Amino acid sequence: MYKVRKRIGSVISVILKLIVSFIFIFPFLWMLSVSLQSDAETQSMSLTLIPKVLQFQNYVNAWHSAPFPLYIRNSLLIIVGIVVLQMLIMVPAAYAFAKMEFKGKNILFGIILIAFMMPIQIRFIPIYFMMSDWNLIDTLWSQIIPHMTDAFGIFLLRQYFMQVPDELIEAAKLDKSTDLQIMWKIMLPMSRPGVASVILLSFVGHWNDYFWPLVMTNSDAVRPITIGVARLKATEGSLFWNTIMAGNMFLVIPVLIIYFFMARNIIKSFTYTGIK
Amino acid sequence: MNKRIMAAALSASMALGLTACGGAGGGASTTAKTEAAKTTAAASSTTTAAATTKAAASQSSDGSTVEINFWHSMGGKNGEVLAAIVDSYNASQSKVHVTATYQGGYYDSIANAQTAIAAGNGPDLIQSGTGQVFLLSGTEGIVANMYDYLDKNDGLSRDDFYNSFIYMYESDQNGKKFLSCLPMGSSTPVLYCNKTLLDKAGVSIPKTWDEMKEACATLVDGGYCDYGFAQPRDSWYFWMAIPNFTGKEAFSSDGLKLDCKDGAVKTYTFAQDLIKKNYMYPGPASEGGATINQMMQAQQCAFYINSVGGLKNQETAAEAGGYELVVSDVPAGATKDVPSGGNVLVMLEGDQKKKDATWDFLKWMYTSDDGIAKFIANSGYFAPTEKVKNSKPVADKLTNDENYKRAYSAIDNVNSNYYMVNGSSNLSTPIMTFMDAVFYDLEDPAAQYDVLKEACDEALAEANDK
Amino acid sequence: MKKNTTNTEELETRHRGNWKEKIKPYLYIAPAFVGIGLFTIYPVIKVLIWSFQKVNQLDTSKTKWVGMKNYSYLLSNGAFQKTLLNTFIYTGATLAIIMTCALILAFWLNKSQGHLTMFTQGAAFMPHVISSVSIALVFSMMMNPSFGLFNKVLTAVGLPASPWLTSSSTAMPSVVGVASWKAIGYYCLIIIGALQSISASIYEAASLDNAGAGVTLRKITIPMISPQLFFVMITMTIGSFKVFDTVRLLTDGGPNNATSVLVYYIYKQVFWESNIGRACAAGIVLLVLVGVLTVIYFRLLSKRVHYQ
Repeated sequence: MYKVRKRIGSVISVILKLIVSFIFIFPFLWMLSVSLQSDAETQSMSLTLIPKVLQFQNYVNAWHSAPFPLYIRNSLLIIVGIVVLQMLIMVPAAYAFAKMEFKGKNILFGIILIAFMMPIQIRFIPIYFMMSDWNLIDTLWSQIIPHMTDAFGIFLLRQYFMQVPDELIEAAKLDKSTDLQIMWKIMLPMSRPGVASVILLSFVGHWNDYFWPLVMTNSDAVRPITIGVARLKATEGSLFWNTIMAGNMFLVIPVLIIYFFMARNIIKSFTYTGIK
Repeated sequence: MNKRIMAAALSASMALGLTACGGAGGGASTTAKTEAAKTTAAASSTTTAAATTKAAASQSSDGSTVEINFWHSMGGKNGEVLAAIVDSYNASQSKVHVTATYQGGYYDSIANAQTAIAAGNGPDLIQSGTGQVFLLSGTEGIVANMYDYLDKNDGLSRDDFYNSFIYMYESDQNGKKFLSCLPMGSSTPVLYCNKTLLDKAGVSIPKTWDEMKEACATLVDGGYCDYGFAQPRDSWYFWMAIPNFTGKEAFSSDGLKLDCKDGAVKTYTFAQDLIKKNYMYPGPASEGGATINQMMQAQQCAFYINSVGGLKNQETAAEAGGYELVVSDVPAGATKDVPSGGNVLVMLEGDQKKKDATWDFLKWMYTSDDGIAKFIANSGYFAPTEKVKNSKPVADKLTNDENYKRAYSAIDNVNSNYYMVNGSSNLSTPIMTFMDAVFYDLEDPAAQYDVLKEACDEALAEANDK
Repeated sequence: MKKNTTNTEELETRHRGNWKEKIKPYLYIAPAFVGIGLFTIYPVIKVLIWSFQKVNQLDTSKTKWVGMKNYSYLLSNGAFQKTLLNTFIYTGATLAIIMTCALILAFWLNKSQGHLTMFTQGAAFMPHVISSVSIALVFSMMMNPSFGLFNKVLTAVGLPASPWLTSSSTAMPSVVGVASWKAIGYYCLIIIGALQSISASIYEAASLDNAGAGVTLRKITIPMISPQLFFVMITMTIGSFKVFDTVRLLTDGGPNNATSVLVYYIYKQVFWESNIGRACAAGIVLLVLVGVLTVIYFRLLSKRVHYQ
């Protein structure tokens, strides 16, 4: 009897898990389905779950409806720019906060944490004017430079750096290593998961960013893919959901591929709260 | 010093990056290349002051072509046509090179322009909507006076334009007549009808609002379709509804106060009644036009009140939906009057050489068959001038396209007094709030009118408080 | 931690007197602080100043001081009051829904391991890494009142269709639903991470004491994961106050301002109404609210939060 009940329990649990998974995955499957439907199928009053003939033409149409290669290139340039700049700035800062003693350290670190709380949605107005004073509006730079210091990134890196044993640093110092060498040869390799996390967070965050490029760009030449995809819907006339969803896949697929292969790491980086 | 080096370095790397992808950009390759050319020019310039860099950017390497930035609001098919128009202008001469960029809807293009102008990097020419121009023209010194150019009478003059299409953009500035923009594709609301459905139900095209109500009753209650007529979510229809329905202006004669309580209550109580019975479908806030197009195509509703500019889309929908489309006048209330609208071209103040180059482009737009004529013939908008109307593409369309001809007759009902509001302030936000409350939430029109009046009067008072 | 300090102190003594060593840490953090100064501190000060001005964007010479006028306008303006209320409703609703669902899911999924559990966790987390642009597009398609999947399904099973995003009464719940769907997995996995960091020996000790499931939960589990719960509450609250993308893409603040939230209001004031002064005043209101809430959280919870 007990066994039977346990069996039933585990069957129910499996079904529940499948239902929960389905709730979260379904919109993406639906996106895929619509992106492959014909115009008639999307616009009919009846429901099409699986298209009769897969319309790969929708992807071609979406690809040609806006300069997607340009958008994707811009997105990548922006992300690489941000990650490189952030690393150059955050690694020394995190190192100083993790392994050095100096006056005002706690206050300065507190300022970083407070900065983390200041929403970009408030700061964007003055930054916009600053960028235009520097003649950087409508360039890729205005989408890179304002993200130079990521307060959360410093916090995260510091947490990892603190776990590197001091003995290693001591030994390196006795070998007359400079701080630069210590950072490069000890801190970074020893806290690889932390560094990977910061890069991953930055990549996903900025690939998906909508607000900042919306504010900072005026021309296709510098627009990233999110704006391009959001624009697909903004055009007047009939709404071709199949083409829009095909375009949407361009935005989703790269992240999904990365997610598929690195789900464990991604989840770890995103859910790392640093609270011990 | 540092700033200068940075700007130069940034521009140079930008130029590099952009040239590298010139071929791959597909549709955007021309834009990318000119951007690259621009930034290279900027990088070679030795000063960083915004104005000078901009001036430098306007000259390409050979020093004879003037670069013009044209921001427009046409996506989709209309955007493609506009891009082709700009390409033919660029190919037709070598003095001026126009770069056209799509900036989103009418509001987006103006909003982007505002911030860009404030930052000293605005475009030279903007295409936006009738109801949005005032956002720029309200501040002196931003928008160029089109009369300065029209009155030179070198190929395009003020007499060319239909008075009812430019009247509302005229104002007095320092004792001089000032025209803030030129109409491009003019429009007015018309009634698109699914004639096949009407015939099936034995209904004729309604000429008055009472007939409309009756027609919808037959159609909806008889189960021929789900809704009677649809209307997109746009403040334009506020300007349409009250004067048309009641025969009275919405604003006081000095243009300083909203003054139409009785009319508004009467009009919107009538509309609410239609909505409750599914005789009227107020379009949703986002992608409203597109949703209604789809509903028309699926024959879910029999009528659609929308701009003549949407003719092409309606023809497409009718073809796909397999029904006969007939264009008619918006039903009459106390009058047959309808407001005008559509899109306009706004030239911005700035460097004289650029303004002259922009004017050259504008002149070409209004006189060449490949210019605005092509745009009009491909969309369904009204021609802004008699010359454009008589141009081959538009004249051909008028003889061959029965619906366009019928739509064109609606031009006789245009009453531009609708926009007689004093000062430039954004009334469309409170108006939209009013319409949302009445249409979606079925709130009491009288109470909502009081909210609207307070907001409008305050905005108008503020706009006139110089 | 203790060991750390002694070591670095030793280091410092060795280099005492060497001013180069002393300024080194400041040099290392300098670039980061340039960034914070330029893009956080300066903008916040500027916003504060502008909030007391009527800013003329197109002609800055016409910008003038107006005192508290922007603030008094906001506080007496119906649309802004509605916006504030919406922001609180949105924040409260998402907080309640996400917290409840995330906690239930976390406790349930933490019980078992194996491929299906991992798959479910991965699936629940997925929306978090996808752009809100994509998600808004999919949901606005599914929520289309006439052609959307949701209404097709509802009518197919005989239920009445919902207007979803197009009516004031259903727009906010719809937006909250989408936002919650996107975030549940993320917070669920943070809680699972916290649950798994509790060592088994504590539970063993509890079961030796014959503590019931309820007592274990109240006396051990909740206190042990309280730092993470605290973190979750703060980030979720601040995140909800800053919501913009979903609102802008799903409803544009409408209908009838039913989904107008603070950041959307700010955006609209800047780009549609070109009223920088009011936008900045609204920004300061947002900042104060976030600040006050954070302080309240710290006060209320810091005593109860158990740090390992």
